[in-house]
Amino acid sequence: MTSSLYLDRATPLHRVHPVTKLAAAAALFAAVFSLEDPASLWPYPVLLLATAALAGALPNVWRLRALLAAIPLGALLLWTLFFAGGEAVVAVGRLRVSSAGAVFGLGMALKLFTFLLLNVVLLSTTRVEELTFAFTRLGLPYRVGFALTLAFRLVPVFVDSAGKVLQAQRLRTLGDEPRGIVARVRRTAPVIVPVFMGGLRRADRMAIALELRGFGRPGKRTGILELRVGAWDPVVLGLAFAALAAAVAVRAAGGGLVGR
Amino acid sequence: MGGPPVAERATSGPPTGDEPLIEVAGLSCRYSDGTLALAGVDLEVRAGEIVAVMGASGAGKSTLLQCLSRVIPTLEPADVAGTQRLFGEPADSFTVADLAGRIGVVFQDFESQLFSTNVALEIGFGLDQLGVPAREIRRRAAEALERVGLAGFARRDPATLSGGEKQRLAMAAIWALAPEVILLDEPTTDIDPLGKRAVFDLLRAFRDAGAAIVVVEHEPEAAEIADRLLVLERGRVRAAGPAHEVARRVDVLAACGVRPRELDVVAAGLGIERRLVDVDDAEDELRRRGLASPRPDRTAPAGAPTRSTASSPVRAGASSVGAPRSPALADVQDLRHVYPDGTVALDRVSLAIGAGEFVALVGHNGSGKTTLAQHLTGLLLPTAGAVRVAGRDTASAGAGWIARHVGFVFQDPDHQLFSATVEDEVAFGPRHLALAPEALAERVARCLERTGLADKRDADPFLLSKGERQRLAVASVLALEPSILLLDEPTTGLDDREQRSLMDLLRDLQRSGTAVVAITHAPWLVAAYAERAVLLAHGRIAFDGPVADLFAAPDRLARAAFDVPASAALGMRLGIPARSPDELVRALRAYQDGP
Repeated sequence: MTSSLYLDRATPLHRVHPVTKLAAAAALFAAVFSLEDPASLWPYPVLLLATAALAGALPNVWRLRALLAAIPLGALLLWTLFFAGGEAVVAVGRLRVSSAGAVFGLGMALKLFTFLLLNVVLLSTTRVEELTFAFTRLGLPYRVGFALTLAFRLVPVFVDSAGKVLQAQRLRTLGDEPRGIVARVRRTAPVIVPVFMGGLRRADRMAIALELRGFGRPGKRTGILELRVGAWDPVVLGLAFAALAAAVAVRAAGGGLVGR
Repeated sequence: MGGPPVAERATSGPPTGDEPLIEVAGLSCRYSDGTLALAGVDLEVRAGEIVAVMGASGAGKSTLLQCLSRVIPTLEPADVAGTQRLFGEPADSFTVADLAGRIGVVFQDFESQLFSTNVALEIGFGLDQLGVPAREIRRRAAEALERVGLAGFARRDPATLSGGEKQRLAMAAIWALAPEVILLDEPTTDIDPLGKRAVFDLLRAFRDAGAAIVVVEHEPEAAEIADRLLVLERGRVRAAGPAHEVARRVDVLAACGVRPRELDVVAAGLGIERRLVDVDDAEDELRRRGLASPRPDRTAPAGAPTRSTASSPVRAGASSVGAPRSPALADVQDLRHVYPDGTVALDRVSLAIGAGEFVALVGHNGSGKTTLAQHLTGLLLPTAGAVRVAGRDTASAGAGWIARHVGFVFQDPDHQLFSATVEDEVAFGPRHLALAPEALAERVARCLERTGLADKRDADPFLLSKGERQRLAVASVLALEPSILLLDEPTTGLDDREQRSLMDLLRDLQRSGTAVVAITHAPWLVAAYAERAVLLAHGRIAFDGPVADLFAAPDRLARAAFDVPASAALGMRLGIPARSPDELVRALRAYQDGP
């Protein structure tokens, strides 16, 4: 079992150059970021879900379903309750819900869902090494590019470690589940210590291992990844920028926002 | 200083030069907290030579490797004194990165040096950094994978490999760099006997190809492949010289917390001056000395097998095969477990565990041992079949309820320690039992006393030694007074003294009625402590019965990648049941001395 998101498949999206994928992701991000209205936003997650299906990334979508649901739902709740504008439809004490707030909340939920989905698709189809390569192609020094992607290498380690610590804790609390958010946070807090300590130790060993294999060495590296721009690169880039153009057009026509 | 172009030595013969690649004289190392880790160590290592470094935890073994690789002091600060030369030049003229391609290092925690998303990229990483042409990288990667027996694994995610495969991948990644010197820190920790043999075979192959190798090991088998042995005690050299000579100084080794090779213990115990090469050689020597036909009625416990039955090496009298001696505390029926990725981890597994049993759960890496243990704790539920603990089905009981009956000590104690003090750690579980404060304090004190941690009650768990942390993990689970104590490779990373201390504690618990189930890869430990063995192979039970019977079928063991300890094998040949080399020696001496 692995906690890494990359899925080794032979799909066209896997073969697309990582720089192309980063550019396409940036275009989609900008498009979604510029919109607020769910009526304008909904095609983007649909497009990404279809992409995830074509790229064989749906297992990861399912694996992360809790995260993909919880964060957007949280945003929906918060923005619906705290949106400052529109006429109140329901008011309980200082809390008020307006139809504009509900629409804005739904838009924020769709946005966050799309951002998360975008990352899942990107990381399911792109190796960490390819991302490092893409960052260097975009002008970042190799060490900086490597450090940026180091987080992706360490996240699985932290996730695995946290899982084991939580298991151990669960056994020793005898199923005595805490009630309330504060109690739950207090219960979970001690887990951070061993996970963090273990993670730091692992990161330290990894840094030494890198140096021992020549990471700090001056001079030219080979670049063992054989990455080429292929027939699917213009297709992916074209689709992403068409999606961005659509968002720009919606905004230019005065749409895409939720009135306050 | 930049290193030279990566040599072609990986495929060429041994170098002919006799200059030491590593020269260390009077090497001392003091950490910033004042700990003197090394004090006046002398060492020379030449091409085509294996030097094994042994010693108890804290003896300075890993520090020595870190100094040799220049990790200390260039990456890890410490005060280093003495003379150190590498490849004929002063060591301080090298940085760690300069030495990439010339010195390869394999960590004890080898998983932390695997960071790529597939095996081929892992091997290519170092070569990529050194600017080796891409075609050459591919050739070297293929050669290295072939060499370590991982051909065909190029596209596999390293995280999906077994422990032994990961270790061999770490070695391949180093080997592909064609280093002149290879340093390894306990490379056989945490892997099954078959994996250990593969690692030792690789070290021999690397030496034969001309590499100079320094390997830190707890396993006495290291002395068999090493040319020279260096024994450290509290940072000082206690013994050094040709491996076969030093290995026979069993008293010195034992005093330094090193488990000697079993046949050397037998030889020393019987006053045999020469080295016993293997079990055949030992049997011949003992026959020559008239010890080959001992009268079992004098040397063995009642009921032990005689030479004519020629089988059981271990104390006879285990009362059952595949069944507990008392009513079952845990009962597994036709258990099948399939992981979400489709891997069938367990299939048709049935067994029962009774009070006061000491069960060794053995089998190769990936055989299903941990999965089975996790079913007994309720952390995993059966895909099919049933697991009952204290009469309740785990599917409905819940892990919390089960934890009152089954204590689980994780392989890495750091996964289960999270309190600020040792005392809090032990009290964490029983606090959920609604005990009166006095009863809680009394229970915690009893557990600390029993595990030898009473004087550490106020210490921070993370500042304890590995052995102490492992004992604390046991204490924290014992505090719930489980009737079954499950331990996942409890001796991993402990030195011989720590291992025996922990195992003696478990035996005491067993004698007081707790059922102890220990997952282990250590054959000597099974022989010395367990009464019953459950052998898993590819998710199925290949054997369940007395340890004596397990060792009596070496073919079955070989298929399951498990070994018979040398003293048990020798005892079997002589018809003398022996759980350890000391026991064999006592029996043979009794025979030698006559009535």
